[in-house]
Amino acid sequence: MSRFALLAFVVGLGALSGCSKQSTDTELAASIAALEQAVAEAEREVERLKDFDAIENLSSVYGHYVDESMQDDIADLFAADGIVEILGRGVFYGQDRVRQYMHNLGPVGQQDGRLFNHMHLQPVIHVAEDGQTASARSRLFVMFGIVNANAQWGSGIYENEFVKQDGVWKLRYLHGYQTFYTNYEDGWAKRSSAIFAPYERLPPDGPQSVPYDPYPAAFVPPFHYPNPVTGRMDHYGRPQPPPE
Amino acid sequence: MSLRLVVATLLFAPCSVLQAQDLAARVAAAQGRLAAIEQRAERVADVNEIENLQRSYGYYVDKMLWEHVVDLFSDDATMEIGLSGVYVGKDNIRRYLYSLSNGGEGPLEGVLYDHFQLQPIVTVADDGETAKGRWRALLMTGTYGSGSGGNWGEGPYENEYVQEEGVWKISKLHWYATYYVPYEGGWLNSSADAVRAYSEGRGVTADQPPSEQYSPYPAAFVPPFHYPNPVSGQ
Repeated sequence: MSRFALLAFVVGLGALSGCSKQSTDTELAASIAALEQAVAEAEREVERLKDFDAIENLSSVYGHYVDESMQDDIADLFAADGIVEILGRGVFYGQDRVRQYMHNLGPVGQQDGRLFNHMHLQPVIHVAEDGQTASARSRLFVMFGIVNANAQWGSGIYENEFVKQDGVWKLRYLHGYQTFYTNYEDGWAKRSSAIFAPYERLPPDGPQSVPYDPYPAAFVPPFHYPNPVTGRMDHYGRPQPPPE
Repeated sequence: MSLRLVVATLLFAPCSVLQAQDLAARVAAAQGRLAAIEQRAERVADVNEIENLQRSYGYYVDKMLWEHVVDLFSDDATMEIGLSGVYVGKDNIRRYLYSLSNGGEGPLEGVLYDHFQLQPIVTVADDGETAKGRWRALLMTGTYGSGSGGNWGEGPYENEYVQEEGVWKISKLHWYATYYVPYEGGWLNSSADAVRAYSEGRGVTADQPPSEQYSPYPAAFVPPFHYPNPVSGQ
């Protein structure tokens, strides 16, 4: 090979490898950027899956605490501006009023001779895209009793809202709709209580957000979500209590 | 610069290319692992969506919101409730459902029709296209003022689901009645007649006979499980 030919070859090789190194670096940087983006998306998706479980746990925890009349623990599940609205008892604004509401239900802790089971079942959970709020429809099934005196069934629907504050999910608005309350002897087709009125000893801050009569009247508690398959909006609604 | 030096310098270039190739391989491997993580996260999300779907079914049935119920099914879905026989396709499922409420849609004054949807075991296929679910229904039904205290009902579902264009739908709904009994006495007495009265369409005929011949409690029958024992694999 002549000296000139060799020089040309070397220059060519140099140009080639230089070019290819440069383009390899660019490609690498691009694929690392794509990888980082995909990692961020996966992190968000996993976070929302954890949020879903956290909402399910929080709903279940609420039910277990009510069973045991753990009034302060129940109130602690609420955000500072949390709202409670149960049956026809009216609306209570803020965690302090939630605490009063819970204490009004009876003395703290399980009592001899008193059954207060509040099964919290069947959650349909939706976490907002930004992962900061969530909603859940769930079912209440109550077995209430005073031994040798009173035994009752209760059934209802919750449409609850949640907020994530400093990484912790809290109840923002607990809204329980009354389906029926009846006593054990009669069952639900012989007897069904009218909507439970506000407590005289603890008047609410505001009236209930949705006026309705429970079973045997026909009433559909609004769904916080459209039909999950078609998006049909019948019976969709997110009623909010009036501003405080 | 001597030619020899130039050649020697440039010969190192392929080394850095090799290093870049090594990095590219690591990036590709990480992308592959991330894709597997995404797929696993997707399967978990699928379970959540299917649980939302089946629980929504229960809330819609509670209130006889039949159009919402029908919406949840795939076009060629089947539905079989207790001893109803099998209804095939959305139109026939709709025909069956409306027959249960004398042709109307929505909650009826004086009628309780609660269908709790409980205790799911959801199994999503590896490809994420189909899934199966075993569930339990607890029923509290009744007609106010009818003289009876109402009815209890209970039994498992073995259902199937299909994902179409990213949306999960019910492709097969099959409820096995364990019992359907009067409130008074509860499950002290149980008969196939009561299950038939609850589950058969009123004035409509199923497209196919029941997919399995069995009698509800007190007869002994185990609705087949769609999954092997999760621990022993038996």
